[in-house]
Amino acid sequence: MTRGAALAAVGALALLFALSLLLPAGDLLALARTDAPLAATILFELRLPRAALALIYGATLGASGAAVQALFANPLASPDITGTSSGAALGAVVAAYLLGATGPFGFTVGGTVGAGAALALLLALAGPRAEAATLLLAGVAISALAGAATALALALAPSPFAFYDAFQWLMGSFVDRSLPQLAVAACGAGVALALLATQVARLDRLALGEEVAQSIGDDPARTRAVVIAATALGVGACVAVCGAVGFVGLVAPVIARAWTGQHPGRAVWPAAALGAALMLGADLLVRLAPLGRALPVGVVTALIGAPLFVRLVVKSRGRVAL
Amino acid sequence: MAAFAFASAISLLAAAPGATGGVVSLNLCTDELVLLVARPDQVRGVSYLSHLPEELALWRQARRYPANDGSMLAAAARRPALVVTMGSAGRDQARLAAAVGARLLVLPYPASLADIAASVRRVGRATGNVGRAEAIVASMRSAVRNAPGGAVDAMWLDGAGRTLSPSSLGAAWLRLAGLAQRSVAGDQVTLEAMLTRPPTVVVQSRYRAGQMSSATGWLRHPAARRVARARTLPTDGRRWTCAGPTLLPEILRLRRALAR
Repeated sequence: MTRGAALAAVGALALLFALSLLLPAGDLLALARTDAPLAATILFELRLPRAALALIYGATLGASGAAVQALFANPLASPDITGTSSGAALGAVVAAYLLGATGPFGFTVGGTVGAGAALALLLALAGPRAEAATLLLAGVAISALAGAATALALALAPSPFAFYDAFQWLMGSFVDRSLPQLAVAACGAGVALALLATQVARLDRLALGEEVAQSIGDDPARTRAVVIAATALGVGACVAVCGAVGFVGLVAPVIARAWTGQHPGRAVWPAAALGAALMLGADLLVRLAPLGRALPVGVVTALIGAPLFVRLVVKSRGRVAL
Repeated sequence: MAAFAFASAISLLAAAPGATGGVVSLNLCTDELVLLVARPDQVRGVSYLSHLPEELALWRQARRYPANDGSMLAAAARRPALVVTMGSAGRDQARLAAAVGARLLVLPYPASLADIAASVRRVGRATGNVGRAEAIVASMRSAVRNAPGGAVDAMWLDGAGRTLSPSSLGAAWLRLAGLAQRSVAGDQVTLEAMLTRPPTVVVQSRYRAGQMSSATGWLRHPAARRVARARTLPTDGRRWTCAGPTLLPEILRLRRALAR
């Protein structure tokens, strides 16, 4: 990615972020004239967390998706396809509805533990350099297991409305999140992105094969551990605060790799930028669509990402013997 | 095979010696009606949700009776003369009820105050307590007759910004308190909408308020404190789940609170 492209990406992100803060503008401008403190409350306590969470969540999904794809040497690997998001959702549901740890921090710890467990299970089931079919099957199995366990946890929850509550939350949304929730997600995502930044070059070398990476002095096992920990922390924190949003972690890295000459490690930052842009765009679409009601942002990202996923599966069909 | 085994189990229960008669309710909302209309000595069982103080205002009364899991098998174990449930019940359920010598009364989900009155009367007739049923219906009629002429712009509010449709049964009850439920797209309001266009009165449900969840967390959002600029009337959220006759005293309380 050239410096010009990087600047353009930052400019586009800044524009989307500003639009996300200011749109729809009518009510906010009118309020600023009559009740400036209230307008400031709306801007800083409601719209800022919403826009910032979309940015952070998208960047985390993009970066961790690219890293996981590099780790498994497979373009179908992404936090949602591999069951990481489902694991995070299970962890957060257990923490909230069974253990009563429903503050932003408790949610996040639950989400992180669940995401980490799902990724570790994937690694154990599929192996470090899995075939597409194996990876997909393992991901489907983990997602199904996590989904069933989530349903069980909700069925055992004290409130009979837990299903409805959790379903709404798990569909993914940035609406009415608070600054403390933003702080928790930002901490998890920040540490995750910092950890992934240390692995960019190693992931590129790992793409050449474990033996090659080892001969250069890398430790593939350590790289795997760092990527898993970073993905679990980042995705877990974001899912705990905003619910599970699918396909951004798949779409962004696939496009980013095309920009970086298929170098999986170098695709981490472009994928983060693209993920953030996709998430901000999807949330803007949700907000401005003339439907009279708010759609979950996960619905929009799924509508964008599912066709690409189908295309990837069709492309890999000839290469994989099931 | 499973259906055969189930029917056999029911038949065995039916054949077992023991007391017969009485009423078993399989649904939280029919529990309410049965507890209000049937005589205490008639009730043989209620759904397990009724035993929870967080779910039913009449939980103390409900705990005098065995709890069931809402299944016909659990009802059959009590050898009732009448099984009451709500919504839909297939022909199989009616057949299974008949197998234990019970009549199955399936009440429709109420959509209006008239529907509630009709359900109260049906339970009254089915349990032989027409007088008790008519007394409840008369109280409802009185509340309708004495409803305030005007209505104040209001929004019923629960966790996650859930609210009521102006055409809902809950909104019809609010109207009896002198409150006009505001229309909100999708029956879910955002904090931003609440802050920019606050209703005159917020009727805030206290359903499981002590139990944290992502939904009740919404009510604790720092920006939600600004919503308190609107007049807030707390309400017992349990009574709105079924929006049945137990709402009547709550509506009269809200009416008095609004008048102050």
